[in-house]
Amino acid sequence: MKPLNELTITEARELLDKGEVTSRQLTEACLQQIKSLDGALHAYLEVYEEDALAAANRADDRRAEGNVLGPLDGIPVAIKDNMLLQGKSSTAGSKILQGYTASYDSTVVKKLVDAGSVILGRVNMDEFAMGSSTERSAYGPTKHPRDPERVPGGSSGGSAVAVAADMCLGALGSDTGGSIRQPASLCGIVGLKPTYGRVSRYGLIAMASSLDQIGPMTKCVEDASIILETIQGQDNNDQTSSDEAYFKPFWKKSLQGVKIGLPKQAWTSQGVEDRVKEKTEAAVAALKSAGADLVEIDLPYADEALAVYYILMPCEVSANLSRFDGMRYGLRKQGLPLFETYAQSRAEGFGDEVMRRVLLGAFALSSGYIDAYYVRAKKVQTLIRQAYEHAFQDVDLIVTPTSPTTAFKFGEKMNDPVAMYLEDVFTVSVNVAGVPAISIPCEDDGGMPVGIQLIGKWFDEATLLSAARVLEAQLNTDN
Amino acid sequence: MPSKSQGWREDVAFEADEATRELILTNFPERAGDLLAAPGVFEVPKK
Repeated sequence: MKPLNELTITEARELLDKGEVTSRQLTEACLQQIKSLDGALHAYLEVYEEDALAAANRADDRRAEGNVLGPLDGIPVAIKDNMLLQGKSSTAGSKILQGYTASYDSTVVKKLVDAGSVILGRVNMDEFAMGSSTERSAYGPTKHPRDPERVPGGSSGGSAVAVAADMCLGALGSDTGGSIRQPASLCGIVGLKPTYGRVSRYGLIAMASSLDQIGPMTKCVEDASIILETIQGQDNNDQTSSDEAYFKPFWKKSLQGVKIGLPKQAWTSQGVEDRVKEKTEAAVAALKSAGADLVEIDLPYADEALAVYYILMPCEVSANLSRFDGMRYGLRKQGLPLFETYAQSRAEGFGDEVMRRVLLGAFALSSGYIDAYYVRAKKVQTLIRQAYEHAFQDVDLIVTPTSPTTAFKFGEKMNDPVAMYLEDVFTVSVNVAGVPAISIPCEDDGGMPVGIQLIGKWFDEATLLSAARVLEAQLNTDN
Repeated sequence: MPSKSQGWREDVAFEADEATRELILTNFPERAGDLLAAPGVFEVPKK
């Protein structure tokens, strides 16, 4: 048997059901791995060792009494630092929230806890989820598990590294423009962004509310499905959560009869690294081997999607982050008049990238410019949604590389925001349209990981995950 | 298609338990005894 912390959730669940391992053993194995590796990798901002062991003991007691709560009962997981857990610190990777204690549970964390999951701790992220490298965390960067001189991607870099380095069995991330899928791609794990509205955002520290979505980051597709089944659903505390039928997985054995679109805009794109090109093209060949019908499609507005995203997102950021004013919680500069208290608290509490986006958003929303920027971007957003609707009339899924690059070196893009923003070139349109997408690893040669992105129709995660699982199996066979 | 809106929830106050109330107040950045302190709108702080 492989070390317990290296198990997938699916494998751990089978062993728990057979009585061959306990939740306590799984949790201790993860805690031991955290002690061994996290000093070097810095994925965790806080580890809840005592609470985790107590939760594992309770899971084992329930199992002994025959009261298993579900497939996640006793499974150790990590949560991104922007999801509230009552009584625990939550900072969204920002200095402005240092010392903040959550007064309520986010819906996703409550669902995990109610399902018996063992919460190991909170993991690192770019400040307020603004970044693609986790270098923007106020608490220091997280390092790539295969090469500590490289970034793990972001903003959910802590979640990706915790999973990739076997410091948990699964994790939650949040994705506003690619923040689950890009670090999953760079770290060689699975990352799923569900349809907007599939998962409640209540208790998620907001970045851009119309784009944010919480999703699983795991070692395999089936694990992502297990977590999604647990955290999904309408929530009275989030008006944008949907009453669409719940996701239920159905697993097909091949892609026979599945039509997959390859957008020419993505596959002829300049600026894609050779290694990404080579590995993703091999993955496309694997899709064909698995029986898929591949067709080139036109998916217009690919370039415009990035521009639209970098207008809409900062506008929402500037509104959402206005609550951090030093009054009710968070950092307050003392002994100043009111306006200076606001200004100094925010200037000291926010990092450079956060301030850049707040300023851009405030500018784009200002009375002289709102029509030229925000209103026009909203119109193009409609065109992007229509382009997806049109494409999905002919195909079941769309496939692109997840990221144009593999993991890059620390500092390489820190002084060039546009280069950093281009990391999201294949992922942002998915958030702008609100569709679901998954990144799965498509290399196994020990080099820098590469991910391939599968995009599905609104609320059709079942087809998306089924195809991803077939591709995952095909790639394992090919490799 | 994008998700449907669920409309508005009832605009009613609900009482927090004592522990939650205390947790919320603990996050307040400045206190003066039992009171929560905030900068005055027109007041210039004494040096």
